[in-house]
Amino acid sequence: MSTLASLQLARTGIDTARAGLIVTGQNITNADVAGYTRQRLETSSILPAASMTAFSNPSGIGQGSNVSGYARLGDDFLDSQARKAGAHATSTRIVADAFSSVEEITGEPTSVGVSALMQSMWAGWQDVTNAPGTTAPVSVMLEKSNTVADKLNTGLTELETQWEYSQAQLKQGLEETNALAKQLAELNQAIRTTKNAGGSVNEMLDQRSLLASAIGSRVGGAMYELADGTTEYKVGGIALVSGTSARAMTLTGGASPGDTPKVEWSHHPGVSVGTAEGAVAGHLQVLASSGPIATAHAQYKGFITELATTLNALHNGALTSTGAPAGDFFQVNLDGRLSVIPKNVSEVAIASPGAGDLDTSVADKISQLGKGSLDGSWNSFIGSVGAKSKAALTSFDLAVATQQGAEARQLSGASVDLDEENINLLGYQRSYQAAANVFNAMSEALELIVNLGR
Amino acid sequence: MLITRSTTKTMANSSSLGIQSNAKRLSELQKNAIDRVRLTAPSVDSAASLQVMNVKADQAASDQYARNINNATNWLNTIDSSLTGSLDMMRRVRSLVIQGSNGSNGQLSREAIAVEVEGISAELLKVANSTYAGRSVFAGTSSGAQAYDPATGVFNGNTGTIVERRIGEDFTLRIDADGPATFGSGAGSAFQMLLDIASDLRTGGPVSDHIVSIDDRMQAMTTTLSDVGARATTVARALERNESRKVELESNRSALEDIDLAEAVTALEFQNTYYQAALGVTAKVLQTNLMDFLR
Repeated sequence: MSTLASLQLARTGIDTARAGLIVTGQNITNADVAGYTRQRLETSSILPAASMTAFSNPSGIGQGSNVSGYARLGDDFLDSQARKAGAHATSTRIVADAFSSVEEITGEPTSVGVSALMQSMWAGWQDVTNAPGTTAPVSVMLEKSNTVADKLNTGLTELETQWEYSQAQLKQGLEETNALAKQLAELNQAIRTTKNAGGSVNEMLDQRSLLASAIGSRVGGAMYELADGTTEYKVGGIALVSGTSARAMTLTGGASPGDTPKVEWSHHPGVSVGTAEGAVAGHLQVLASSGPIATAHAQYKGFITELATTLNALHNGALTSTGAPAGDFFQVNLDGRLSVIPKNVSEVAIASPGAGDLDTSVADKISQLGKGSLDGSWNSFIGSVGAKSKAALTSFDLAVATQQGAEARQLSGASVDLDEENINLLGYQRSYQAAANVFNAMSEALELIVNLGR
Repeated sequence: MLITRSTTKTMANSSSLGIQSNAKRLSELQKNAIDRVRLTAPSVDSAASLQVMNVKADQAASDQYARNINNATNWLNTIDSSLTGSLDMMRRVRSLVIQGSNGSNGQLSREAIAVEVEGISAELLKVANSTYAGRSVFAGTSSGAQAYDPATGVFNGNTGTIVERRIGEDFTLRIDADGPATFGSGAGSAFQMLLDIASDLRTGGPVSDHIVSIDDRMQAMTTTLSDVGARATTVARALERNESRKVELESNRSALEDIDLAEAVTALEFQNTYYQAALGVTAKVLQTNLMDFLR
């Protein structure tokens, strides 16, 4: 080896050590960055010089070290597992939250629940039977009836608000997904270009992984590598992003409870997106016709109608305190809300026609309505909501446990350990010192040779 | 898949998760201990929630029955004392009639007896118009101020109607008494009969003929009185049953819904200790780092 070549050898050592310091520095400074996968220097020795001519004299020893690349120590499988678990946790959380809200709206089984207020109302009718001809018990009963109507109406309104909120979240989730899909396609383009130019794409791969997680937490699905270094993101078997081109999803329907929303592919109208995990899937489950909000809304409406019909059947034709026959007691408005028709005590019917002016048989019959199918249908609704809510909560708890496990495994492989990096840093520092020493030694030797002739 | 590598980040994550789950459990237990109610939502225990709702409905019904029983008792007591008083008055009239039918009485003494009998007639009419809480107890479902017209003794109330109270599940009881059956009405009424007795005493007519009618009338009153007595007994039994049912229902509700305070506080203490332990361990583990030892 020529003397200058030996200086070159020392220089490669310094370069390699410096590259090592830089990679370690990169790892340490990015230790807390979300989605960062640790990198490691890959080095190799340079082969001895090949024999050029018949007169050259190869030394037979290598020519130093060089950096062959920066390895990214991630595992695609663990990444996709963590993504999937995260998406499942998101969708179960949304469903559990929706059930929880419905439970809060009914207020059962506390003393401000529908059941307790109904009991109070029936008791009010009984108190009327004890003192016919007096106004106070009738006033109290009217108040209690208004309270029940208010509670049921508020319940309907809150359910409708809950529906609108979920619908808005669904819409936003889809808009974000479409935007993210475009970003992923662009990133794929950038990765392919850089890779073809021979550059390092590790940071872009991290970004791509983050984008895939963001999309996954919204619509689920999975990402697959293609041969040219780009990826394909598939949801329900259809590609949302294919290499450098992105597709979009659209939302139809879902304006009010009972109108089930549908998420479809823009490029395949009529084909619904097969999303089973993620926020969008969660909201679709919540807004389904068998979902918590639609069933609760239908139950409330049915209950209001049944209450009005059964009570009106008894109230109609019965006599008020003035002796005049009364009409309906409850009215169901067009929007399904309940209102009490009598505004003062003289409009409330208590007596059966022909049984005397202080008869209370109609009031007594009304007070017994609670023991029939009315209370029964409400109670079974509450029981069903309770059971489904419990199941949803359990699903969520399990999903969270799975997610924590998957994330822990992913981090275990990909995250930066500061202790390890500090050791590496020390190592590369020593290498750098040693390589600098070699350089010094070679340089001194060269100086001796140069001064030989003097 | 085994976790083979533990990094700063994984340790920080797992510590944070551990503390978070302990804190969550702690706040749940705190809420339970403060509210003392276990069933905050149906999902906590849906079967128990349904039972609690049914128990509370039964409790509301029992409270209502208690009010109705109280009302019924007062009505029946009013009728009872009215009838007892009426029977006393009729006995007095009977002995007066026997006294007056004795031929040895002079005009003056017969006049005195007639005046007393008239007085009793007016009093009897007042008793027949007894009220409770502003309602005539003998008038059925009538809203009229008086069951019997004071001038004519004619029944003003609604015949053939009954006043009832619901004193138990599927159990209604009549709480009023039939005025005409007890006192008669108009020309055949007890009051008119007494006035006839008085006029017979004055004119010297056959007073002793009235004794049969007096006995008949007393029999009618006694029948009503024993009927009322039987109903009062039924109401008293219903009251007892209702009271013991209330106690039973409350203990049911409490067993389903309430939290045992001692248990809740103990659990809270333990959870607090676990939480503190998690915090302490995390503080020790996360602080140790290689950089502390370099140079």
